[in-house]
Amino acid sequence: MINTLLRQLKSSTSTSRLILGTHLQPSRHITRMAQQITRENAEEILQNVDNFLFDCDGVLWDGNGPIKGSLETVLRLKELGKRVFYVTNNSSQTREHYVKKCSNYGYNAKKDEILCTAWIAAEYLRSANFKDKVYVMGKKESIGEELDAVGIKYTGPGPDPIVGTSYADWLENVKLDPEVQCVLVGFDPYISYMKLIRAASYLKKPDCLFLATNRDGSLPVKNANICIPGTGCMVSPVSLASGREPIVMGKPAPNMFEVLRKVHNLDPSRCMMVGDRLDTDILFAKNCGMQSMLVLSGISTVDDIQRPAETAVTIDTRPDFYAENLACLGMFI
Amino acid sequence: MAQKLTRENAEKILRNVDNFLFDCDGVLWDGNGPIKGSLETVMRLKELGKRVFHVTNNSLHTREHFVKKCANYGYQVKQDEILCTAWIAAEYLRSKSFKDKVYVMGLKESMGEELNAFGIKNTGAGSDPLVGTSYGDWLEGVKLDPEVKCVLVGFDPHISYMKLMRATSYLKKPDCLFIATNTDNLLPVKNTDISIPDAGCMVSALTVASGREPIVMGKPAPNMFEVLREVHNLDPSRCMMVGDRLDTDIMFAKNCGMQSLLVLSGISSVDDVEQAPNTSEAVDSRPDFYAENLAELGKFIVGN
Repeated sequence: MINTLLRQLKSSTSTSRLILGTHLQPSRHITRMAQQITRENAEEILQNVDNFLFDCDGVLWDGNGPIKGSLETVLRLKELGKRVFYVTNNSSQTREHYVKKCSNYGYNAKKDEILCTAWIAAEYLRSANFKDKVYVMGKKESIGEELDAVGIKYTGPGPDPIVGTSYADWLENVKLDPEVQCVLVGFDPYISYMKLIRAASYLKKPDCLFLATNRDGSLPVKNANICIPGTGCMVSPVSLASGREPIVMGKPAPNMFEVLRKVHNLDPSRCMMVGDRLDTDILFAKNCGMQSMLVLSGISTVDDIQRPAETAVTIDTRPDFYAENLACLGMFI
Repeated sequence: MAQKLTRENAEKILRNVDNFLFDCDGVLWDGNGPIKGSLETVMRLKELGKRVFHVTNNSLHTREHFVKKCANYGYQVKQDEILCTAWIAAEYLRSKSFKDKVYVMGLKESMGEELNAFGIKNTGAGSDPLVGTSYGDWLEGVKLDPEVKCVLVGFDPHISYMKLMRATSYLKKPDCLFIATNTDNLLPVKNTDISIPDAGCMVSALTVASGREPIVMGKPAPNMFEVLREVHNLDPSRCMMVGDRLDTDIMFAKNCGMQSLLVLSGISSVDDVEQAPNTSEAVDSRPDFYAENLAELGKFIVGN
């Protein structure tokens, strides 16, 4: 549903608010630019926000390890009585793994305070009473395990190299499983041409579901000559080959917030999403009626904020606040 | 409006067109083999004194291979009558006096060979599997070559995460060129339950991660027509492009000032033509004529 709405939004010629149903609040009318964090607005935030939702990669840690000052800030917020949750698009690991990772870094989060996309994808299929088989382009250790945990059959994860040197060879190797009624694409380091053929072929059937955990193009690695391609690089080729758009589980889709909201009875207007990406974290905040803060310790840069709003087409991905990193909020509280 | 091919307009075409440019996949042959009647039509046009060329976005093969493939089907063509995107990419770099190294996400047998033929240094083509099980291992495997100043991406059945890491890392440098052979999403194969992803899928993985758009060599860009026009002194208004895709072949025809015929034996369908909206994009890819397949043209020119 969200993709139809996003498509409509992209084709409209005036700025509009994304309204996705009764759970979501219309965004406050923002006339001001994103505000850099100061002592004054940090105090205002503490008065207006009870619950903080943190993205992980690029906010709490990145490819190089923990981001300085983030843990201290989160622990301080907890001391001040704030509730803290973790919402990551990363589809490389299970929810269980993130509980351990947070714990290792000192965050001590409970399982129901953390959401990741491998889990939400499995939960989505479970709640839809999906009883068939899933063709998974993703990791066995994340998506595979989460599907196992809810008893959903799947096939596909792991290496799938091409055999032979010609079309005839490759096509001979493609035997479609008639039980498959869903293609689920997540982060897949074993991406291969065979997998693209299989996924695109399954999606020829209109009644085969097409789900993606997320579409992040790359993972944050600051100040390096290396790019770490993200799940978007797996999803995009499948989408192009099939001519179909997936239902996206992760941010900016509101699914992960919906689960937290229900379980923890959250008032979105008193929630703040803190992330490093405008087109996932901040858009997610707007879609869910939350306040938002962008930290520049991950993917987005200060230029991204200072460019005119028109560059984001009709979608408002302007954060309410921004700071170099989470420690900048920490130092004012 | 696009006109369905009839005897009357086929005869008009013969009077107004001296040079025919044919796409290959979905026009002459597809994933199942030669398309019935196509090669016979092409050979008949040659008998009638028309000049015939082939312009394909296919980045799986060299120019030489296409000559051999045609010969195997009993159809003789000369190498300078065929253009393919592996060749035009190498020619593009030559024409820009490119002296550095190219990182190739594509086949050795096509892109690698065409670059070698032009004496352009390249690395990366062929198999490049993931080694190790963690980011640590994978990042260790990415040793960037400082000589690389261009990423060239085309059809790559060896696509792998290692290649995506390498290509997108090279593309972090703004002065590294980013070239794609073509952006077709699929290769045509009728009446099967299998889809055959094409170069567009490899290109999209790179554009999503790098945030950069490539310079595209193939149709609808006019590069391949420019070469033919110069070498063979063609008047575009007396040329007709025959292809199976609105967004590449027909748009290419319009970009080059040629007439166009869409055949429905490949990617585009009759609905794509008859139900086309009135947007400017649709108008830019509206063919002058359309027919089920090339044999339809053939049957109207028999006995001329």
